[in-house]
Amino acid sequence: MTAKEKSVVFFLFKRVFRQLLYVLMWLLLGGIVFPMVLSFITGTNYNLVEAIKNIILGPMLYIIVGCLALLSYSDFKVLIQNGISRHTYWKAKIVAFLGISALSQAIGILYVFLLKLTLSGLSWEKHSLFMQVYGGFFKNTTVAYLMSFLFAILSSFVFSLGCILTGSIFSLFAKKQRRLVILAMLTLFIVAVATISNAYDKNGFTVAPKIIELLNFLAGYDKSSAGKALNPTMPFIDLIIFGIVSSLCSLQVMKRFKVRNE
Amino acid sequence: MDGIVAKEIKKNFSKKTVLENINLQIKPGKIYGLLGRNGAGKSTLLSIIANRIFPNEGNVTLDGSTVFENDEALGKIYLMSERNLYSNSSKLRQLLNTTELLYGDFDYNYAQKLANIFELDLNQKFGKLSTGYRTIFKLIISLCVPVKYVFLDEPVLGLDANHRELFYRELVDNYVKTGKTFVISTHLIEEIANSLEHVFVIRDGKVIVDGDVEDVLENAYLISGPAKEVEQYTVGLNVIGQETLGNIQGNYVFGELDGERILPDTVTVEKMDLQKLFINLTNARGQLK
Repeated sequence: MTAKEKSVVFFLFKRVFRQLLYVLMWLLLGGIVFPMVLSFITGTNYNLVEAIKNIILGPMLYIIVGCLALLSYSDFKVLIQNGISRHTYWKAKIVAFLGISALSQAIGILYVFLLKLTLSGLSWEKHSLFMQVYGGFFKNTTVAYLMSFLFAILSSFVFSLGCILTGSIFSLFAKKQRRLVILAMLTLFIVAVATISNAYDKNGFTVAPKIIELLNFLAGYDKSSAGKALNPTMPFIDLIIFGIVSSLCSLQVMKRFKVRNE
Repeated sequence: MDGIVAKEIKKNFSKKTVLENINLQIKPGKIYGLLGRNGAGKSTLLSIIANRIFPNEGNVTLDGSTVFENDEALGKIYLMSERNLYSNSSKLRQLLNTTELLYGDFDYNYAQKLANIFELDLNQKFGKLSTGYRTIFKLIISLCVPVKYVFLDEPVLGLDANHRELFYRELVDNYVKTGKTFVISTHLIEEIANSLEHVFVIRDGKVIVDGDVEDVLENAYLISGPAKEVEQYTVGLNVIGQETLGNIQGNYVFGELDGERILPDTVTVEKMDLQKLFINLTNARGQLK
């Protein structure tokens, strides 16, 4: 990595981290401080420990980081003004979001562990979908935990990559066009949901067996593992493939970025 | 080849051709003027050179390497444009830090000195600045950033006469001290004319004049006198404009005069200034032979 690329990674990481803290601060204000103040005013009972226990920090950070990955055009504007190419921006964004995803999931995991230790919160396994579905596959608990952490970080990173791709596609459009595209997609979504529910009411669901087989394959399920924990190899492969495809597609989209008249 | 070379640049927006077959060279260590009327394609050309948009055809190189998607080349270019690419929520000091982080070696002391001269508080947010102060802030960056080529697109937009004067003084001072290349695109030609060494005039997406200011003005004349004599004297010359006041007529000529032609006593020949030349070259009649 060149010195310039490192500078861009640092710039993006700092920017995203600051935005992340800003969003988190508002979530804490809305989720803990505001209800607490309201309970003081109205005289209702408020349990601070329960409120802290109810915060699912990992998934929250997962979504927030993904949302921040959607924002592409504002960074592009600043970077192109400062003589940074689109390719370097793409590379730096991928690296910055790898770092942010890893950091945020590490914080999320640490938070659950600390809760368990201090406030007798739910154990981390109960929060982790990976541990529930694939945890039993590993004979060694430490390995299971490590793989689960890795999966959390990888899935958060790949989710961010998907969001980077989506955000970059939207960045190709002007504000007005973007609104129209969102409106069109929303309409299509509503029509699709209505059509599916209509079909379900009339005929019930009959999903093609090949689709079920494909979904089973992607999830690492086969008939021999019925009733047992599933093999996590496939989900890891799925994520890696999805991540590579998303990042390569986002590079192609970002290469078409240009400064717009807005 | 040394400097920035734009070769056969063509740019269309939808079906409209904005730039057509643009060829020019920007050599290091000069102050260039890029002149053209509104919509002539100046900003588009600068945006292409700074890799902000892509041409439909052609290439731009810096010291032989393409500038497109080339960090090394882009790191030697700074384009200050009318468009605000900085985040409105960022403080000016933060933006200076970002410029330093990404360009390196930013001259902070000079930036602070300029901010004091222009009475700009660097603790403000960019979005809170007036049009004039946004221009001033961008000018400060363009004078302090460690690049070889600085492109200024409408650098005095929104500036009052005092600030314009200050800017021209700092520009020349900076040029003398650093030897940077400046390319200035502006409508206020009269104010900057004395500082320009080389000029490009763009009309309808094509470069119609490309030369050192001295050489260009050497062939720019105003022939005035009684209408009949002036018309006779300028027959066959490249008359790019005309002015009349009663029976007195002034013909603007761009190109060599016929040395063998006898100048009537009633007709005078004067040199044209850059602004007059520009106006006449870019109006409906102005054309080059």
